[in-house]
Amino acid sequence: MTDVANTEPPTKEPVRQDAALEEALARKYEAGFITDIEQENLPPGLDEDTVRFISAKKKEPEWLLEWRLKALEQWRKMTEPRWAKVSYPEIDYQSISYWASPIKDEDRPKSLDEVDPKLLETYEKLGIPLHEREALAGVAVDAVFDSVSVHTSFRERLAEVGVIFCSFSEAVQEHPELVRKYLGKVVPTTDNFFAALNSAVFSDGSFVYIPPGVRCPMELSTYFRINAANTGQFERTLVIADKGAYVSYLEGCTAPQRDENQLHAAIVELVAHEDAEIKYSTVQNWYPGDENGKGGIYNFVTKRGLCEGDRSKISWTQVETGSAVTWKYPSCILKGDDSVGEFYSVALSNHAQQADTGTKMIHLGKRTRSTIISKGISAGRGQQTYRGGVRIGRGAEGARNYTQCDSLLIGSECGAHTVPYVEVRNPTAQLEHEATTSKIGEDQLFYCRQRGLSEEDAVSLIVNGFAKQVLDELPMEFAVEAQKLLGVSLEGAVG
Amino acid sequence: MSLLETLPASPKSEPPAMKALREQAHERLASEGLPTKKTEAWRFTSVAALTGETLAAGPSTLSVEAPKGVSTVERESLEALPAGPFAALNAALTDETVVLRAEGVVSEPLSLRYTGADHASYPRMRLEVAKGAELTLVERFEGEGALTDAVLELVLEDGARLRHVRIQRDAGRLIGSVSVTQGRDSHYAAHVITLGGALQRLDLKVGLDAQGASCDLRGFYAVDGSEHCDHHVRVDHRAPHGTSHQTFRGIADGKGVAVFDSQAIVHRTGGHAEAHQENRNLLLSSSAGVHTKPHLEIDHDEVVASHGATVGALDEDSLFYLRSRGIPADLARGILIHAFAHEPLTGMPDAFAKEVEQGLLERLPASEALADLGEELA
Repeated sequence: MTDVANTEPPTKEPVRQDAALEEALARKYEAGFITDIEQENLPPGLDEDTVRFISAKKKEPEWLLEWRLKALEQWRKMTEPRWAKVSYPEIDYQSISYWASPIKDEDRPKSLDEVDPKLLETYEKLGIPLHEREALAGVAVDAVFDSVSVHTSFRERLAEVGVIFCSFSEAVQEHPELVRKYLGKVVPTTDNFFAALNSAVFSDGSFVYIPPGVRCPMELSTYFRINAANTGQFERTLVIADKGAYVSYLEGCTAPQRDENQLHAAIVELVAHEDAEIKYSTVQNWYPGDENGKGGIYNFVTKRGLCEGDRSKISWTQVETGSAVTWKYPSCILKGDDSVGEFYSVALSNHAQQADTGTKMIHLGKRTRSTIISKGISAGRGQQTYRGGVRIGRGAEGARNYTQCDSLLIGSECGAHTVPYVEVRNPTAQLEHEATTSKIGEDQLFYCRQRGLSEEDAVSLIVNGFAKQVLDELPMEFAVEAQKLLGVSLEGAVG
Repeated sequence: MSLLETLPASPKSEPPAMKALREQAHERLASEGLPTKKTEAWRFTSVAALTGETLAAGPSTLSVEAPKGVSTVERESLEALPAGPFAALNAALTDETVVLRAEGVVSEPLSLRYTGADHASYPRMRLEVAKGAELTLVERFEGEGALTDAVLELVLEDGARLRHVRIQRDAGRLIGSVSVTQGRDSHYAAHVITLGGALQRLDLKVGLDAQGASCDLRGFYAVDGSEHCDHHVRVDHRAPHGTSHQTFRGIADGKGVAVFDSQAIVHRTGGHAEAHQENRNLLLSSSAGVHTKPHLEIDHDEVVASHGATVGALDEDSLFYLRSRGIPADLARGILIHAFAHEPLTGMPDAFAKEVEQGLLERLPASEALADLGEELA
């Protein structure tokens, strides 16, 4: 035992510290509100007819319906995975409604003016740069409200350089050959329970295709929200960067306050061809539930990128502050020689939140490199698990991996767990994994205090430093929101 | 007939506690059977070869040399059945249970020697180190065994100190389980050395059950040919002010596979804990494999915990340096591997360190030249 940990802090300080901590921990979810607009829902339940209904609604070609039905068949044979260190009540998949659209198809707006003002107001509250703000922020937003895309901006500007950025259903209609070629290529329907479920009933999502040699002129962004009670949201995102292309994709989400658990099982597939680069950033702030975790979102996401071509690169950055239960492992399959995979993550669990998250780096090509930086922060009764896998195949000559995962604990009731899996089959590979778990450094605090910083400023400084390595990776547009999110949930909480 | 269908009933003369334990083991084996590759803890270690064989217990393969201060204890009850399928198999099939107790400061080591045989054996040992007592325990597993399924329970009472040296050399198929229970301010130091063997599996569990208990676990393993070794280490911090260190290093050559899985768990009751894990591996051939999984589970914020794991080849620059000084390639490799293996051996009593050194040298490239070099330097 070190002397530092044994030293009791002066008696006067903890009182103020605890008050600040309590206050911050008890802070209400700021983005919690419900938009009341007309919904067109399917009654709860899941069978072939549900799938046929969704497919027909979206006027999908026959092959896609077949694909969905096959996935449903697969899903029925599978059992829900329970290996993650999260606990939640049994989910009744037959009590969920698999289709909700905020507007009737025939009333689809032709321009922003026709959009339901309440919807716009919702976006307004969340600070989404959709209307006038779109040019200002320089962000193209494909906002998904429940299951149907409402509006896609900047389409023309992107079309000039040949970039396809549209909702998934539009892509099915307009670029079926691309969708057919890439759908399920990275995450097959048989991949896991939630992936099979998503494949059967996915409602909508985003589709991005960057043609060869094109550097996407702006950051692409989707804000999607869950709104209707009892409606699971099954997003499907497909991003393809052709040879030498570059794209940075931003995904952010907040959800209104609800009292019933909402299921979210999304799939994100990325494909990077030769010399292509995809940067995928996420800020996730779904409703985490109340102090006891009641009402929060269940977030079971399958995200995977394939570095198909030589010298391709895929980079995942995520800031996870929401959801009652998070089950998410953005991964990279490094197939091309000299391809690069990166994973940067800050995850925060407060109150009764549970997060089991991490990444998987599968090295197949020669001289492939991967970096994993994961920062976990647990407060209240939050449970946090980093679960990461690094696998070096026999053919991965000279592969290199560096993994660092640090956990910060705030309060004696939370938990932080680190479960790395390292499997190496090639002697020329070099792997390093390091991890630390501790509460905020007493000596660091002391040093800052001694230099005249207040307790709160000192804590904030240290915590920002703790997450900085990851926050630095975020695009400008997101960095502000991410810091705000962390600030709301964290800054005053440490001490 | 499969192994599990041939489980013998317990002998008539057995004490009721042992009988109960056996029944419990029978039940567990009947419901769970032997592990498969789908069992998380046995993902990389296959015991499929065992299921077809009749592994009835043969004559004893264990010899005990107890120094003055260590005595045999007649005991009515034994501790509860430890977790794991092979601990259950041991309890179901064992016909030799030795219970020893050490008092005071014992200067001579307690020696246990297990020799391999062409039949299976299920030795079961329990060692109690009395309050304030000090002891060195040395276990040697030698010779090709059909199957040695050994269970060892160690109980350290308050303030006890135990140094445990376990040398597993070419021991055929060896599946061992060591569980340690530690009293207040007790200290447990382990040196686990695994040099070869067709299948070596060790489950080492340490419970820091009372305040101020500490443990220092060091290990070294080497596999070559088609050898397979698997170390599963688990430390539970259940009481405050516990300290644990795990330092394991290994080399995998030929088609050998080394598995290292370690857990450090700080329970809600185990505040002010310090837990460190380190695992370094050298992968020396393209057909060998290393699987490592050092994981931490922390349920308390008053904690300092860290873990590190590396897998890599010998450093090219160091090899080049040695070559440029006129040292042959083989010897240069030998020197570097030898240096790498040294860390887990530190703190080991000299007599055993020499023995391990000898075994290690035999497995290194240019072993003779290396041995000569060692003598010259000495």
